[in-house]
Amino acid sequence: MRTYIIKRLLNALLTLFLITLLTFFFLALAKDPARMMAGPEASEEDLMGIRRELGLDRPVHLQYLMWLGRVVQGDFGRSYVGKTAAINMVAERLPATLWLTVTAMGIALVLSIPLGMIAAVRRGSLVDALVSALGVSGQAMPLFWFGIMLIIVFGVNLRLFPVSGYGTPAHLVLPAVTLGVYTMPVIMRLTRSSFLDVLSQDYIRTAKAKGVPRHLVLFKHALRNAALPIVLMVGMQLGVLVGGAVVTETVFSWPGIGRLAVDSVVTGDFPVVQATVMLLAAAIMLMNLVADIVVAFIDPRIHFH
Amino acid sequence: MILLKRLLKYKSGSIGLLIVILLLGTALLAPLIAPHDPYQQSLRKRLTPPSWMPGGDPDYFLGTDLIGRDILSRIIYGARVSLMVGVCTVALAGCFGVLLGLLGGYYGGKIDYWVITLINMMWSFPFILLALVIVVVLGTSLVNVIIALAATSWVSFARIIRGEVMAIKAREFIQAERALGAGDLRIMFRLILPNVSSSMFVLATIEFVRAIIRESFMSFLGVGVPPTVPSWGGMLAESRAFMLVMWWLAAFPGLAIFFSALGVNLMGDGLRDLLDPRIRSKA
Repeated sequence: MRTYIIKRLLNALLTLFLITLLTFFFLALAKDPARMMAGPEASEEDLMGIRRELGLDRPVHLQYLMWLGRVVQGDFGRSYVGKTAAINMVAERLPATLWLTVTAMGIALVLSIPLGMIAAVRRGSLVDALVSALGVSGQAMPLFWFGIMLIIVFGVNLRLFPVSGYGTPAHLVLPAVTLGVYTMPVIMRLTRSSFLDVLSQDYIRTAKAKGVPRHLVLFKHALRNAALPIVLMVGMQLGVLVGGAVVTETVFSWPGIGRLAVDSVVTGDFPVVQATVMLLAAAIMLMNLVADIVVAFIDPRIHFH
Repeated sequence: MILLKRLLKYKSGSIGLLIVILLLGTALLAPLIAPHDPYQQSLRKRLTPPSWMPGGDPDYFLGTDLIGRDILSRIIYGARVSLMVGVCTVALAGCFGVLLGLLGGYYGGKIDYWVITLINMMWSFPFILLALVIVVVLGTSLVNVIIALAATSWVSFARIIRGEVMAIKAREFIQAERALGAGDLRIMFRLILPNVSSSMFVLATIEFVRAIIRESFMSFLGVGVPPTVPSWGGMLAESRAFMLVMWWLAAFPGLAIFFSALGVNLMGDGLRDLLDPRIRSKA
């Protein structure tokens, strides 16, 4: 298992390196950072000065190697807009994103797993039909539009929650529900189908025949066996959740990394773009790895290669 | 045709198909069915509510936007953009992804290692950031939005098709063809490709939905389709300042995205059930 984890971590490092390479060369093709920093009325001499100072007058591959050398030491450069260290800007926004994603995942799990279980146990019932309808419509719902609708209904008309901002638990409700509902359908549908699979197995029939109480059959025998694909899917959904956070934070003006990333792409603040992309990508890879390891603990049949 | 007949036997699949036909019809016949010119402005009639609400105008069924353009007509024309974005993105991403999946799954070894690394790289990249970066670099236009979306959508095709190719290439009929002297290209494109086509269809519907939703979000951020072109996401972006108090500005373009996505999803689910022999035998 240790060898497997080391292999995966090394592969993650290679992937991360390729991501930085791709982002760097893409950004090098985009706007001229010197012009952005100096403003539209700067002279050619001013621009040359800034380019020399930032090392932008050198060939792109050398710029990349210099940048990589600094990143290894934890220096992502200074923001062109905020004029502070890019990594500090990202670190400041991290708690807001963590709050949002953890709460959203909590909401998604608390709602989707019981609903999926009920739908499987009462297959063909009205509840099952409702859960299926909820799953299909949830997957068709544009996340940002759902957020806007919640703002209109619960923020503007009913005045139950603040429509944007950050700071109190009330501010968290609408963004977390939006993001949670976005993640819910996939987990709910998978819980239903893996429960249906497990419930038709012989060992469940045996347990029932032996007179094991229904709740024990469901929660001890079935849930443990159905959990495997669900945990894997939750791991994969964490990545989707990070992508969804970018959208949700933009709609709700939530001061997290996602909104910072969108703002910095639109304004051309490339050191911040690089820092956020690296952090988000590393988080997604780490979460997938953790999900794989958790699965190994749940299922002793899995061996790592 | 046989596939279509079978699809109609599935209730949800037929509802999906009906919505997709409606979407296609709306897009193709837009100039004939739109009650007004989608570009025609009328400042006197700006922000008119839907016709059934107080202050509504029967000429403007879903009301007008902030410069007096008919919302229904813009939604009808917006179907063209969504459809074009969906179809072109799926075509581009499908070709590239299926090709990579075929190469990785068939040849294995070093080629597969790099295909997998590329897939992992894209899988870890928050899609919307990559799409935004590409549009910022290339500039905002319909073509660039499609390129940006295709650059993020090919991954699912490559990932799933690679897995299927690995399973199929070990089958006896492939080995028999190889023993008879069939070349790699023939095996990949004439024998393996038709066997993965059902997954390709299903993936195409999933990626189609993703593309139209992502396009609408990009347009909402102002980095999607240029504002002069009527698009559903663009309509949401334009009405941003007023939509909180004038709900119809946000509700109807969003519902158009929702129902299109729902239709294609239902059709995709129906297709999946139809093409998966294990499920079909139970139905």
